[in-house]
Amino acid sequence: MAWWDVLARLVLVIRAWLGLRRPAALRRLASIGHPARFAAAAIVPAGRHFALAIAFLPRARRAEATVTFLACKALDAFEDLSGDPACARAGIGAAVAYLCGESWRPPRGESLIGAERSAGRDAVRESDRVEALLAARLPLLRAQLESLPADAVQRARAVLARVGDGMMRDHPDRRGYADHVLGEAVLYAASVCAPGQPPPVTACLATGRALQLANDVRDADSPRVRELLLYQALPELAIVPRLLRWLPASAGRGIRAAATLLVTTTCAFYLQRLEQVGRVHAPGRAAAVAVPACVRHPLRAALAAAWSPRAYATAIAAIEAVLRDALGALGAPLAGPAHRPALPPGTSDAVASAASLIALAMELVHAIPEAPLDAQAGEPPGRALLLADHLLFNAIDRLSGLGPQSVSHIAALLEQLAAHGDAAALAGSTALATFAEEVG
Amino acid sequence: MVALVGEAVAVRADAPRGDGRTRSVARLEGFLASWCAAEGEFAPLAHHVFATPGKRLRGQLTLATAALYSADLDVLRGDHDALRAAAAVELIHEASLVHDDISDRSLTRRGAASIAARFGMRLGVRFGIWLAARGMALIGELETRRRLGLVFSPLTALAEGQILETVRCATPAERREHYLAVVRAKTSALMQMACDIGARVAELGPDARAALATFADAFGVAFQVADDIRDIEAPPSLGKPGGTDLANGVWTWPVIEWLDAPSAAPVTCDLQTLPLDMLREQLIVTGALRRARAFAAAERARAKAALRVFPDSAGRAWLFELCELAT
Repeated sequence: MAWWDVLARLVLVIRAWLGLRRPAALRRLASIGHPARFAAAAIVPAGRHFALAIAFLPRARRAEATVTFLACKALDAFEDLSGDPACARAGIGAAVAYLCGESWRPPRGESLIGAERSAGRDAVRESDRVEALLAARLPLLRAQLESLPADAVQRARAVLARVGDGMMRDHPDRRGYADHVLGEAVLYAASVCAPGQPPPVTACLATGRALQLANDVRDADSPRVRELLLYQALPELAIVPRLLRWLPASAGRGIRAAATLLVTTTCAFYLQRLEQVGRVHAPGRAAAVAVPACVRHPLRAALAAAWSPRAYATAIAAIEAVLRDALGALGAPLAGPAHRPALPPGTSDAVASAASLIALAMELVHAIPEAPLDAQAGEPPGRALLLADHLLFNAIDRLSGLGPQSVSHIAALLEQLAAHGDAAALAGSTALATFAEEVG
Repeated sequence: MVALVGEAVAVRADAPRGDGRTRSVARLEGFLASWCAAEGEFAPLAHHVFATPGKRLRGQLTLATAALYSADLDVLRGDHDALRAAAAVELIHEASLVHDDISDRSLTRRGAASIAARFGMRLGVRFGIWLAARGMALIGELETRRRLGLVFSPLTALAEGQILETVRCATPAERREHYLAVVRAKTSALMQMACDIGARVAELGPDARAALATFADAFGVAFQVADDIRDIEAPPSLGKPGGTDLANGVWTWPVIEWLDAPSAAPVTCDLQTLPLDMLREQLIVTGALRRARAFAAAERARAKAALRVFPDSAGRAWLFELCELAT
């Protein structure tokens, strides 16, 4: 690694870090007419924590990730600020066609500037203004995109087409939307970080869902909706750390750092809000969750991960542990170490992800008292059960799509899990391994 | 003739011998008992559950849907796939009830001790998982043989609905939306699955399945509001003490109607601080119960309207009758 690239990355990291809470200099940004300079200046106000993560990447990947991210944000502007769904679809379609080189005429992104005021929000958000400006500067983004190497251009255009398609489709729920928009973006990010490696689709989609739900939590104006979204995010959060585990050992320092930063920032966001929910439902336990240093200081964790693979492994273990503790705080305290299901080598990402959910669910089941239910007041065991069911059914939903035989295998798996009397029996169980061998 | 009174047993003693519906429900009951004839630690729990069967409403939805294009119910004779599908849905429903009783701290179910109260909470939870597994085994067998293409998102919705129910809404404006969201997830989702699986067994197309999804959605809401009303009126057939929801502080639909009425006395959100008798009286004198009945009737009408796309058939007549009896 060239020393000057390390230095350049450090400068960019510091710049992105300082820019995290600094208001965007929109007028200055609007005056830049050079594609590369525009992209470099726009990424910080448009990306915030993503900009910080991108800053860690090696030069070529950084350039590609920067312009692709900005182009996605421009599509987002057409989606959110166009006024009505038909205009939004037309704008997205035209923007994708232009960025992908299928058309020479960019859509009128300038019309979105100022439109954020009528987007139905009480306060004009700075992020909307930045996105509107990106939409108005599509020619700069296209020029920057076309300056990349051919394989990067192809990769970037492919993801823009998929994300645009995802935005234009009607989705039955937010998960479907997240899979086709942010899920595609995370899959792309994985392919940029480890080209040639098949990405862990389930973990990427779970990360996409977690990011989408985090956006929705931020935008929700009702505590009820926020709490529900947080519960919906729980199964995804249990899978997100798998993205870090997937990263090949050959991945460079910058990639380790970027991935660590992205995951720890997301976890920190959720832990803070889950603690608030925990305070309502289990006041004593929520305060007892010890948030590890790596989650409290994501930048420090990213730098440590860049420094040594060992620190990277420690961060992954800490993230997994704190998510488990947080779940315990919401449901029932989970005693002892996590029961990691033994899975055969080569287990598919889908099965391994579902196995994580099932293992957590069964831990919650085993935290439920054995005593008969009585009418006495006290902390109800019901919440642990609700969370266990939530995780278990979520896992079934994921596994049921793995082929016509999968439902029978799920039934056999559940029957074996039901038969286990305690957590130790679960740890020694071969049920998940059998499932993985037969289905995954 | 199938009776649907409260939580009472489904098959009426005076039903005519030749009634296809009664025979189908009786066959379903027999199939469930034999399919879940457990050995070992779950045996007494299975016996306890099947000794006091419920209405088998979801199973009936599956059976009726599978006969939507049949002149009579002979199509359901024997070891028909619809019977196995109906049993699968019923087992998943039974599993959810066993778990629900723990979450709601319910000591009784259908006039007997709840599983968790009788056998312990953790064993009850594991038994619930076992029941779901037995249901999934039936679906798995059908999927392998017939490739029905079932989706399991209703189960995810069911679990999310149980969590959603514990989330308090902060503003009065959210009450109705929140109630309907909970009912759609907790009740309607499984009813949609029941209709969907019946439709797939009968090889109905996407348009028919979409109409059935609308039917199940409205049917689920009407059923739940009617159930809320029964909880307040507490007829002897209810099979459990009346006013349970009120005592637990649950905002049922009649309570929401009461709280939203302009004439409502000082509105309190904590129902548990009010004496039960006073609360019941308030719900009647303020017209909240009457308005809840009207809402249930409107949803029932919506459910029936969704069935109009189907030709007159034994299955459709059965679904119409379920609308009348269950909601």
